[in-house]
Amino acid sequence: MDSIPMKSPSAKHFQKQILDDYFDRLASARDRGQKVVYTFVPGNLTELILSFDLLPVYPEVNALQSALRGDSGNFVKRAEMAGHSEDVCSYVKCDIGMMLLGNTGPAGKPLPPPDLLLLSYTGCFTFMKWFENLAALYDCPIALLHVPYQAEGGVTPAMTRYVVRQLEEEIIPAMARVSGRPYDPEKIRAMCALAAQSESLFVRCLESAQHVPSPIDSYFGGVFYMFPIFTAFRGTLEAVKYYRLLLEEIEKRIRENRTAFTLEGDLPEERYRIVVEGPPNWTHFWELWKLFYRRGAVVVAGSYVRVGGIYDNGFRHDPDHPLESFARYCMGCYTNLSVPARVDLLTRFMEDYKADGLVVHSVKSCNSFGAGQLLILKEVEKRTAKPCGFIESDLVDPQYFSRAHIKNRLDAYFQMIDERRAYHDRNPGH
Amino acid sequence: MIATLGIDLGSTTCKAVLLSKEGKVLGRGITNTRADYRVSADIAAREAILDADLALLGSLGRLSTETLTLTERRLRLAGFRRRLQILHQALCRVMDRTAAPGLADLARDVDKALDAGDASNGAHSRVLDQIMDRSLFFRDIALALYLDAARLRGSLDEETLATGLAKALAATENTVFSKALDETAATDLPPAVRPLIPKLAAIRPRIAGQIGTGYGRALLPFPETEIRSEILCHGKGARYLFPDARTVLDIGGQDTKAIQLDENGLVASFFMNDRCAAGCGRYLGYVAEELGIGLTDLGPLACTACRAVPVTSTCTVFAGTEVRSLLYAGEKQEEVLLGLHRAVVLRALSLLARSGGIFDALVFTGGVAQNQAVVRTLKEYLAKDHADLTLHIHPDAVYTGALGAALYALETL
Amino acid sequence: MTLPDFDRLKALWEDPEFTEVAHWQARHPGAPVVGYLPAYAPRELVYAAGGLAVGLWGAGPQVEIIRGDIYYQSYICRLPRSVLETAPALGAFSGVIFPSICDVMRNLSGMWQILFPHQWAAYLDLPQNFSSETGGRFFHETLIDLATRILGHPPDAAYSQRLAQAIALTNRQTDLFRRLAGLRSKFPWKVPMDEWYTLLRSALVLHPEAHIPMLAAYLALAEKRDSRPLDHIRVHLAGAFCEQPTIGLLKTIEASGCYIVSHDLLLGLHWFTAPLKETGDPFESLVDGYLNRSGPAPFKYCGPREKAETFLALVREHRADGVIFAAPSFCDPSLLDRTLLREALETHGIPSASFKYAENTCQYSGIAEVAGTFSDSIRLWPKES
Repeated sequence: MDSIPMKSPSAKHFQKQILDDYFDRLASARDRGQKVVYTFVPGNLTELILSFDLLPVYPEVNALQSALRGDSGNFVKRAEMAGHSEDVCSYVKCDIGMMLLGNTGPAGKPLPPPDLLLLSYTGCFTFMKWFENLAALYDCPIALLHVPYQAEGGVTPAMTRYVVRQLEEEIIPAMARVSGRPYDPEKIRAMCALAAQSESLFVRCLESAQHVPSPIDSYFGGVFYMFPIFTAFRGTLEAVKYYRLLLEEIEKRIRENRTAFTLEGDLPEERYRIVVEGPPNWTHFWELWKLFYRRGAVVVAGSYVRVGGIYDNGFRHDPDHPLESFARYCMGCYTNLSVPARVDLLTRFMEDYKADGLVVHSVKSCNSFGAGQLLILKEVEKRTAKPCGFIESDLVDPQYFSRAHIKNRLDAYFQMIDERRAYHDRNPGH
Repeated sequence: MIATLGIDLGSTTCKAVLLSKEGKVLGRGITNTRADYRVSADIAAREAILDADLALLGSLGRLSTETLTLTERRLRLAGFRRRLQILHQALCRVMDRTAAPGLADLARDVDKALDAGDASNGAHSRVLDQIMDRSLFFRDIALALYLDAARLRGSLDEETLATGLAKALAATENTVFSKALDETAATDLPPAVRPLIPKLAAIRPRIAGQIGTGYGRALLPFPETEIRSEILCHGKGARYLFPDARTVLDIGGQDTKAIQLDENGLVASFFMNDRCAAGCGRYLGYVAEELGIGLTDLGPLACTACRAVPVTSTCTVFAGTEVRSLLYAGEKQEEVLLGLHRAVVLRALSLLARSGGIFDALVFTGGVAQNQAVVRTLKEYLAKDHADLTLHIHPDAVYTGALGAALYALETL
Repeated sequence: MTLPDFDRLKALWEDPEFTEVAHWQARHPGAPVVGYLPAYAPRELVYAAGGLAVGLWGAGPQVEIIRGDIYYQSYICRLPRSVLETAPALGAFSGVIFPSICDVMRNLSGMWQILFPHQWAAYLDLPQNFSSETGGRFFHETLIDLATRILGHPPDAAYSQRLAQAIALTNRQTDLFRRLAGLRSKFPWKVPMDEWYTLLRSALVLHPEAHIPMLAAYLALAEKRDSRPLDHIRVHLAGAFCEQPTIGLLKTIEASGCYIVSHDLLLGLHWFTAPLKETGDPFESLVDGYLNRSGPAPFKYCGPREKAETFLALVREHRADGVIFAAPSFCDPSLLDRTLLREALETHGIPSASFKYAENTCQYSGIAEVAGTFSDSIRLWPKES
């Protein structure tokens, strides 16, 4: 792992390479006899899955990629035709619609059906209903991991014990059955060690945004940085390599005092440093990004790049206690935190990342993020005395994105910051 | 003299305010928003300039109020007639050839109605009152005139005519129609006014800066630097009208806004309604349309109710259905309407609470601030929880955003 | 013996001021009053502490929402709004229990911690693992924590004894609920829907000691009732386990030709299919009740085959002609369960109909049409064999 070639590809290029390779392997999995596990990003047990030589598929990622490609609207409609309500989560409908329309994955290649549904039920109740529905559509076993919620802002020994027991009694035996392999503690240990390395590198990448100007956008840019660590690669050498490359590039940007990268090159001027709460909109992802960077706004920190796990507080996968660390990892996902804990975290980001304000992006689909966001906004505003803004759309149902509405609110928000700045410039005493 | 112009392009109406360098309001203009936003802005601006001209005339010639009123009436009537001509031509184009003779009769009847109004010298003429009423627009009055005439004659099918009129109006409304004073035929004006016209051109203020705001501001023909969010403009406008303003509630056609100002008048926080137009002017407008009631009649009608029937749908479209089924179930129309207005107020109060509450003085702006039923209901709720609060509603509340925009334009001079 | 005063009972839970609870508190100074949200909470823990457990299932249509809308976007259900709207009236409650039924409820537990710091807010994480050694152990520990919260100190032997008594008490109550449901299922015309519902719902506010005699008296009278059956179909009502429809809505379904013979309204009160054990460790009895005696629910994990089978068994047990799915708007658990269950019904040729509602839905014409057409289609057209 220490032998990164002298002439390295760019992080972006390398990521594309490993993702392409992953989708190729998925497309050929059936023919090669490799078994496939469908699972979720928050609280994913990627190391465990890979250690059994199983291939993970993340329906949420498929859904968001379908949206980026402009396919999600049809998929959602198809699922609604099959009887799903317009009220429920569009990720679920996009996934079910995609399946009903032939299950061609986001890379344009067919996705293999699951050999196991690993329902890691972390930070989102709808996950449970989602896989109950998939289980009825696919004839395959389902294994459930119930991850208790950090309602009181902490993890108790009882909670960890509960998760570990489920891993031992339900999850590991299910994977062993499906893969036909035994549990390999040595392999897990090695993968946990690699995971911990990636995690440390990932944290350094995210923390680079504390620099002024920020070398990265931690939301619109950040979602691409988080893919390897939250999906099929965390416990692998590839992930370590990717984050090394990424960190090198970021550090170079800092040395050169370069601003964050946008779709149209470097941000000409970093005018606003923003913390964002909530997942992005995927159907109009680029459009929403433009509404930020064209105004000179860079997102320096946010909750979404922590949706698959929070490493900022020192948590790492632990080769010496792998199962306990899986348990702690799952329980520590952002959406598994209580509302007060989320307020604490965002407030800390506002300070550590020298932010000018918080913008809450609320999505219709997600109650796990959404219910309580307005209170979170109020609390952060109260504690930091920084302006907070609020915009709404959806994850992957295109009809809930209104550019005019969002622009209207963002315009007002950024102008509000401008006006305050201008006032303070005129009246330095205040 | 130097002035600035603020334009607030809303979803229903477009407002303009002309402001002197000293921050004095010189003129106000309003028109209905039409498909072409440029035209809407242009007409509103011309209206504001006309308004300013009339005020200037007053100061130039020490004219009596009567003369000024007569001047304004003449001007508006002349303008109205000319637009009617254009409308009529368009109407002949869009309608079936066989309707032509009937249409010519109607045009004559409409003309006669206007003549009668003019001859009455403005006294008790409904049509002239309407022309002078700034909350009514050409399209509303012309439509009513034609339909009334058709009804009296019984010659043309009303529905066909209404469809034709809608098409013709869409065509004529989007052409700019000049209304500046000195361009008006001098014969239309009272003799005392005529010699003043050349002088007016010399002292009319030069517009040295302009800012656009409102729902459609992105479509205004202004560069990015001349555009401000309506949140800021409403905050600033409200503060100008009421220096003690801390909380501003604006209910417009598409948006409801709750704005908090700090002690320096800066926007401290704001909230706008979510994606749907529930609780906005549109919400009332939609239901009014569904029930075939004029938007301006909605409030007065609701005010006659003694109790409110709850309307629970927050969705604009569902509210229409709900109102209809409530009426079908035998509920009294005015009570259902009061319920509808209550729903608007409840949404507004939530939004206010979301933005941080209500402090000291609440300024209520936007088109819906002119709706008596909303105002009455709002007062009832405020009396419950905010007994010591001052509620400010300015007669010019509808111009608050445009005023704020003009004030921002002053800052750029 | 006379029938209960149903108007008074309705007024009890329609009262946004919780006056009845205040009266109870005045009569029991120092006793804890604990609120619980849908759908299931071990009320016995509160009774054992000498307290009153009050079900907070929404304030109904008559409450105008202002405060509640501060915190919720338009795509979130109404229940948490009306709960927050009436929350100031809960000032004297010592705490509130938030059962793990969905993300909205889950997050409300944290919001409560911020908004009402003088009260404890306990999230009740119902295990989705049903092995007694794993999920059971976790739930046991959860219950001990909850009892500690209610008591202010860890439970002792004396408390355990009182808990056993409380279990015996709620067993008597739920036994009466089961008998009432049995009577309704057998002779729907003897137990009008609104009476059945009112008796159930008043158990959210009344202490079982006060509720049981009334229930027993009603049952004795209802059994002897001499009313006549109507030509109605028999339906199971599914999906309304949390936010409640109005009584008017339930009566509309009935008036449209559908006898609701079983339902999941106010689910937690009648969720256990058998009485709780009255011997042994009472905490274990509660654990065993949840793991082994609770019925199906949208918030309870169940393999797809088992879910379908349990549901079909329920429909058959009550000889329902069909199922009406009534889901609160924006209720993910209910709406996503519906697709699964509807499919199971279709496979077995059992008809179903669906609609959505909110607790303030007071316009019933659409629902009357759905229910009426449903009833007609079953009554007038013979079943395909």
